[in-house]
Amino acid sequence: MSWLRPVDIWFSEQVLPHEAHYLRTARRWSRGRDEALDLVQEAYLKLLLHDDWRAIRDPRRYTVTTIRNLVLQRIRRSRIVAITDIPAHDVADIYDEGPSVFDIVAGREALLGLLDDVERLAPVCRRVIRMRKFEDLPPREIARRLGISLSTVETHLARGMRQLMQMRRAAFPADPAFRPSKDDEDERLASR
Amino acid sequence: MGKTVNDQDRIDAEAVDWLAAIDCGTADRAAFERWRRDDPAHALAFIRASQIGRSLDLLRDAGLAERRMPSAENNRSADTPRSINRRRALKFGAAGAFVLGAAGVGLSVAAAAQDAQTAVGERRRIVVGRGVVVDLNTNSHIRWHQRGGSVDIRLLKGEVLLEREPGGIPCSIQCQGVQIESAVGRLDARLRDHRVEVAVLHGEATVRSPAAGDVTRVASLQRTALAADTRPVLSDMTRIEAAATQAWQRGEVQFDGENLPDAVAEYNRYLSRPLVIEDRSIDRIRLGGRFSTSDPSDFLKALSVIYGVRVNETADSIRLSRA
Repeated sequence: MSWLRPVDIWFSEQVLPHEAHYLRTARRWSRGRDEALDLVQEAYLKLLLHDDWRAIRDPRRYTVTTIRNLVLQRIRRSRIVAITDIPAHDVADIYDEGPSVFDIVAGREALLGLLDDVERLAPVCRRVIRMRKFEDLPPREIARRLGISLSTVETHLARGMRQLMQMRRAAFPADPAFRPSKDDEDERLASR
Repeated sequence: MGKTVNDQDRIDAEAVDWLAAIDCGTADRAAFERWRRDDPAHALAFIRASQIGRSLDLLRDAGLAERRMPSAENNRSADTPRSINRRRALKFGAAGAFVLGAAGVGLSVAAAAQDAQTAVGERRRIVVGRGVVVDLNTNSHIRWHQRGGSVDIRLLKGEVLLEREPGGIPCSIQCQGVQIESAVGRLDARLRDHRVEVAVLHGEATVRSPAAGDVTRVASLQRTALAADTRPVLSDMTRIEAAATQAWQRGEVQFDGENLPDAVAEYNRYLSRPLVIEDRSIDRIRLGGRFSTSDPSDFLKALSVIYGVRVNETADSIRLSRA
């Protein structure tokens, strides 16, 4: 039995693989990186709370629509967001192009990036993560070989995974499509 | 609005603590469920953490992890089988459950006579006996039972990938009067039009049909198709064909020059809304590539962009015609 629920599996297979696309879209509709990340996160949480997620035929498009609705909601609710900041026609038109070659390459690069991240872990965490994930050794066997307790193995695993998560989160803006061009940024700053 | 950075860090830390505890078999399921239910951000962080675990497994399975493992530091002692990194290792217990779960494959451990089915588009992984794992592809049905330290599997519909690890109990697959015995290794068996297709991806197997009487050995990277009334004829597989045969296990369908009707028929095994060719003039299109079994949008885009096929999606089908 998996500790992931069906909705989690659906989410990780159908929604998350298009994350670069959501971030890019959200970036177009928001004023900065943090707001874009926030919008995508909020859309994810809405999806995870969706009672009828099985009925969502096109999860990728649905996520984009959710992000758009959140943007519109924010515009309506708050006068802080100047309407000029977000091109109205852009939000209204939710034309959603399919996954590009970039997305596929980005997925592959993210995987290889993860390998580099493992190399950057603290030595003990790196050793435990490698033994567990790359050599597929059971935690008890790792404890035996390293002469440490199972709970220490658990601590190193958690610490290593946490560092990897932090590195992955920090890597988001490295996606060139997500990072706005300098001109784009200048234009936005000028409009405020 | 979203969480602050500190909130997110705390939630991430909790998620990886749970993941490590589950992996080490020390987690309290009820407490975990309470934590997950408490906040959707918890569930999301757990999904993200699980996915990193899954990506690390993918790196291992793809052989990419090995390349960067400095030999002086990798701690692999002489008693660790080298092959463990070379193939998708069998995983049992909670650790396996979370890894496989992350891949979208449910895992259950079987006891006596059992029956398992998958719906269209679904995959399932079942431990049928000590050291023997069966993956069910889309729209498949098996029944199995353990008898005297071995396991007999009946393939009633669809396709299975059977993996028997060293030390695993003997196992056989019966299908349409054909008997397949697997040695240590991995084989794919598919029931198609009253014939059984057997592909040995690793290790070896023997097949016997009532027509042949005697036993035929199928070596690694060989395949055969046989029925109750036909003798097995062996053919060799290329590495690409072997990869295509088991692509479904990764949630992919792989084409290498198939014509459109064959590719569509293969794809439709996984789709609840089938692809329909409306215009025979596009039958001669041949295509290659790897596509998601759960989402045909890349496949449709390739057809449309590269071959100018018009894609018309209706409520119950996806219709393909000449633009």
